[in-house]
Amino acid sequence: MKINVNGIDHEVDVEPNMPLLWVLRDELNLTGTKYGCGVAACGACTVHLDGQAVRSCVLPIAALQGKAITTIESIAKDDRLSRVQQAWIDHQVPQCGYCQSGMIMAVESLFANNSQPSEEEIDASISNICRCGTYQRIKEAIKEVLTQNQENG
Amino acid sequence: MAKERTRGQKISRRAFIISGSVIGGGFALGLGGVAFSNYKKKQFSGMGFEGAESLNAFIHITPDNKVKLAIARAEMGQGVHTALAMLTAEELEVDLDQIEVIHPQVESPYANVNLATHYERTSSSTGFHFMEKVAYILPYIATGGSTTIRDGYEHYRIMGASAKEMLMKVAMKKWFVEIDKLKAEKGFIINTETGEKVSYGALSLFAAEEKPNNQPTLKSKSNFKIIGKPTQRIDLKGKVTGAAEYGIDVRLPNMLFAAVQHCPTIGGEITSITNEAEVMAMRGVKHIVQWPEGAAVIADNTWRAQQAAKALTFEIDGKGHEQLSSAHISKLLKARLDQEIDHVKEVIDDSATAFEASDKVYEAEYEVPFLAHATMEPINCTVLVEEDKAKVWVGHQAPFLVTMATAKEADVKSSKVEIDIKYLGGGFGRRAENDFVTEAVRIAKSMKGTPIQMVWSREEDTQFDTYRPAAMASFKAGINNDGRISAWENHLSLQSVLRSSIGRNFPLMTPPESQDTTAAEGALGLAYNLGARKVGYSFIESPMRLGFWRSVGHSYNGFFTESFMDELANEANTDPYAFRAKLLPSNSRQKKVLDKVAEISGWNSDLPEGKNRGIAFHESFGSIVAQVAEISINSEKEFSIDKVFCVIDCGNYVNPDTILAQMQSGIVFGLTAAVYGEITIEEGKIQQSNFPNYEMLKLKHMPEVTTHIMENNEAPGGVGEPGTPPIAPALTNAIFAATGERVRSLPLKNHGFKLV
Repeated sequence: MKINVNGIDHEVDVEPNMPLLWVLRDELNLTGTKYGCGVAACGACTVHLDGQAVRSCVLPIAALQGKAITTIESIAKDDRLSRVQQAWIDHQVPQCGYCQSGMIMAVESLFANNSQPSEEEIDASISNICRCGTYQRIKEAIKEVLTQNQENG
Repeated sequence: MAKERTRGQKISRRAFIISGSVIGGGFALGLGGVAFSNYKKKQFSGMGFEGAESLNAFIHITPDNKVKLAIARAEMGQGVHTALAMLTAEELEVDLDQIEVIHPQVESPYANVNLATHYERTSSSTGFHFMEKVAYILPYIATGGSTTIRDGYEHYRIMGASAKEMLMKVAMKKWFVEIDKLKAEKGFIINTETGEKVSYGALSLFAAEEKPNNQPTLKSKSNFKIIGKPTQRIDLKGKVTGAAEYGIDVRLPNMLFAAVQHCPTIGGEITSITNEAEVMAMRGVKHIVQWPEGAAVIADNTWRAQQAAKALTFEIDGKGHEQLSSAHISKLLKARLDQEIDHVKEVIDDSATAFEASDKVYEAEYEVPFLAHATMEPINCTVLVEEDKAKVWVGHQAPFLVTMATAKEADVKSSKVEIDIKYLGGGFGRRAENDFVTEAVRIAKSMKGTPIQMVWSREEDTQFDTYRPAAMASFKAGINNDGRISAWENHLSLQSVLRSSIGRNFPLMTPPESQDTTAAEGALGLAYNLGARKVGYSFIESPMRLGFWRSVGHSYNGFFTESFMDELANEANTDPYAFRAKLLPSNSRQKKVLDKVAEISGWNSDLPEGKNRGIAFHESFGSIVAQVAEISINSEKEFSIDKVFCVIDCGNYVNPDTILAQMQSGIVFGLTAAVYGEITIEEGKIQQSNFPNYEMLKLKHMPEVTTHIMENNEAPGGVGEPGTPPIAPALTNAIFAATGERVRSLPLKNHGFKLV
């Protein structure tokens, strides 16, 4: 099986129904993408498929041929954090941090599709679970990115 | 100054210098005699930094002026690595970004004295000294009970200040100047007469030869530059880039992966696997391990191991608790509740007489269910067992249990167990248990020489948890016409967490039923003036595995007592805040906290139509918290939690930004339980399995939390847990204010309430 992850082609010898999550974590050692539930309920495994947020724990690898997969590892460019990542630090969002890879991937995708999402759109699209309850700071960090997007047109 | 030594030489040499006797590894001397006398000094032994010269057991400064700081406390989101680094940096006079946190091995300098003794380290009580010795001998290295800052507030500052003194002494010799001509700043010592400057890194090897002072002068609070100031956490960069390494992220050469299926019936045992050959033939499967409570499949990939473990079919012995159900446990609790209190823990005057003299007597009963921890990172542990040694990579709250469990299961000496503690993707008490470590070692020892990462599926994590117990409470209060309470009786009925958890993890330390300090915590010693009192608990027996769940006994007692207080306020026709305020001693810390939350929530102001508030107050883990929940609710019982106002008095504090985060966190944790949380049992099986049927609060539900931290000079209190207990009653009290419906059992979803 061939997959393209973070711009690099990989040949992996796995079953066609193996979920992307486990190809990333166990075959490619890209452990930034997390296992939380295995049933697409928590969002810890969120990655981008052709730029769209998807939950990789239920995504069979066979469905990904010819598509571009982006993981948390490639969001910072040359050690420079993305706007969302920087807002996450400025607002001191993570606690245990385990859900935050998926959270950030979901938010990056939200902004990629809509630079000015409404509060309702944010609530509806960010359904990831954070057991530490960092939601308030996530909202604050998202608001800051919104403001930056406004300022930068 | 060549400093290469082996570890053993280092320990014995420094131990000789400091304490006059070899005490490194001296636990073999047994529990008596002189072996104890120098444990305090041994905190300066330099252990914990293998092959490195250190200034004490906590601080090692490298030539490039980096500070390696030993922290044997679990970073599970509560910000302890940052807080302890702040305490050290304040006295050592370094910048936080010079500090790198190292998790040391299980050695006595790192014992959590406060958690073991429940006293401050400066206590002079006999009980303290005995338990302090026990803490050092075990050594009791654990993170829990919201104790990290209570244990470390002074201790880490002493370590920093002592190390700084040693560096200063070398600088004095270097420049032939008196100490008052020297200034320490940002990792440098400056000669104020000449302006010369030398880095700690350049002095450190020489400083390590100086005699440490274990009673250095500490800065006064007014001189703090770091402590008490909002400070950025030191662990966040990796947590936003995916680079932070949790236990589940460990990757080792030749590593294999294991998945587990436990016997689905509580207490049941597997007699055989009926399709072993079939499962062995599945792709990637290397080995199958079976033990009474479960079986594991080892494979070359987690998913393959999970598929194979799921495919296992068992023959079960039928000796499990096939008849066990939540309804049955509920009946047991109620039957016990209706009898006399077994363990009376608090008596003030004679409540029976006081009831007779009361104008009115009011009674109510409450019930809460079992709860799971549901850490985001499912339970996992990576182990390599070799012929006479073992290594464990794990996110864990109690490394000393990891060492003990590994040594026992792998049949190696404790000294031959090496641990590597990773970030925890949530702990909340679940990762203070050794069950999963024992299991991982059992699996790994079946393939000695191969590192094996055992990961439980979310379903196993949910169904093989160590649960917060179901509990019931009955209350009876005498109310006088002036709104005062003349008598208070509270009986709790539940299963013992301590006997269950300690019985599994550390059987020798299992307390008798009468000494379960968690059962009635939060029900005893209430600050309110309640007149005559009788409070105690009674236990039922059940096969449920119980464990510590964020705020433990307070998690249900907060709900019980503050719901009942609200009922009494209503009975007395008094405003719930005013009713409580009248019962708290004037000028007390408690009263100030309650008043403050009324102030910041605008308690006495009117709310718009459709909005209502509830108030609750609870003291736990050395801190006092009051909360007001503001909700909107419609006639369909659909509600939202719009705002929460929170006030905490945690005495002297370290990082106020962490306190705000922990209050939000504790509130979400408590709300999740209040609204959704329930583990139920039918036919001996846990009914919930994953997030779709064990629901969590989400972003759209998040109230706007406003927290105020009280300023005073009291001893530090905990912050990881105290935010949780008051929120459930604040919410149900708000629901009462809105609807007149008193919720006496949780979760709310069982009463038709729906969070929107």
